[in-house]
Amino acid sequence: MTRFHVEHLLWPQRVIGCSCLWAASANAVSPHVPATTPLEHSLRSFMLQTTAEMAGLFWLAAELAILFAVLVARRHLAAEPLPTRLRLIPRERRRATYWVWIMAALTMALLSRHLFLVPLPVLLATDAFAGPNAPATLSQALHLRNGIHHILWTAFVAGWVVLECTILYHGLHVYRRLRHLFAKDPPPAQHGYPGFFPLLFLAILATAIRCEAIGAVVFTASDQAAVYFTAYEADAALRNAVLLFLRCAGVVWIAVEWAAAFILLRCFRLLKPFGGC
Amino acid sequence: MNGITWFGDLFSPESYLFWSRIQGPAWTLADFVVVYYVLRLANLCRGVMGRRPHRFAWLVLAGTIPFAATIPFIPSGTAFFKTELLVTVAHFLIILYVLVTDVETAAEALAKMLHVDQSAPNEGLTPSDHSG
Repeated sequence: MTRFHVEHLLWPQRVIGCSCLWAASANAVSPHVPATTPLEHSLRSFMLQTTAEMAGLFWLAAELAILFAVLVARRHLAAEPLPTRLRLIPRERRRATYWVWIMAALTMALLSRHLFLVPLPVLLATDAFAGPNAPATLSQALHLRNGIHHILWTAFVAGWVVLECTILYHGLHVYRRLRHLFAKDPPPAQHGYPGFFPLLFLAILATAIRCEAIGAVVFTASDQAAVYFTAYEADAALRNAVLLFLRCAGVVWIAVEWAAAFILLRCFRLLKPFGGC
Repeated sequence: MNGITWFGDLFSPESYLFWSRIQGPAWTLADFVVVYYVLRLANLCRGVMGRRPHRFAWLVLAGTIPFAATIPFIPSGTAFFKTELLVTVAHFLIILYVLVTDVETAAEALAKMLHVDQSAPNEGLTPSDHSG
């Protein structure tokens, strides 16, 4: 009965916490001033992690939309003679539906993570961390929350790399087809489906390695008393590994985006004489 | 786990900031080129179909330049993330806007361009002849 009441008491905290934290953390966040209290530090972390995960979701959705458009363009341009209107075929409609459902499910899952977990700053302000085991409980909660964020962020980064490489691959085929149509070059060679699955496998493998590391950190968290910042600092190597992974992915992004820019430049120069401008 | 720890020990937030200041401008500049040519291609197709070119999207693209220019001098990793967020979200929104509004126009324009080219094969016209 007591547990029932406690859980119900936590519900308003969840709602109020999630809705008010944005405003509170917006005031607390100042990137040039180091956080001095656990509450301030956890507010900043909450703000940054939520923003990052929502932004990651947006970038993923945007790249999926671009990939969808490039795939449709490739199929459209392959038709002989070139149709005057764009029509989605049933397979493309199904693909669009699946991808929308997947993104909706991911969005719900991410929102749920922030809505249904009691935000750490709210917990810090309650009696949940009172008592002799409070430091250990706090330490574990911090490891778990940061660990989940690292898993998500690493998966997002791997996903963007895979999607951008796939967009580039199909974009290159679109350009070659355009060149064939407008510059009368030999038709492009037909290949099988791209190396999407090997790339996906590599991305999952990279994520799995991260998960293993994070899991080890989460479940071997020390039972000894630890203060907030000690617990936070304990994750430094893991955070640095994620940062290094980000910068390695950055090399791929630079290469892929410049390649995409070059393909678009070539497309424009190919079509410009036909546009009369 | 030891491997991950070793991997993490190779790097630090300071190194992250250093390399972000180098990598950020490199991919942001590529983003600008991508969005620039997406807009030029869209306007080319709109021109072929006799529609008004995009103007607001150019303003949005121009509006991101001051923020992008601060990336090499960014003071912290958090500030880097926020600036990148501002710039890249705007760029993605431009691309998505063009995709939604111009995908049909592009298909029609390409067909029209090809039709023009194919309708006069005996006149010996080449693409450069169409440029006027």
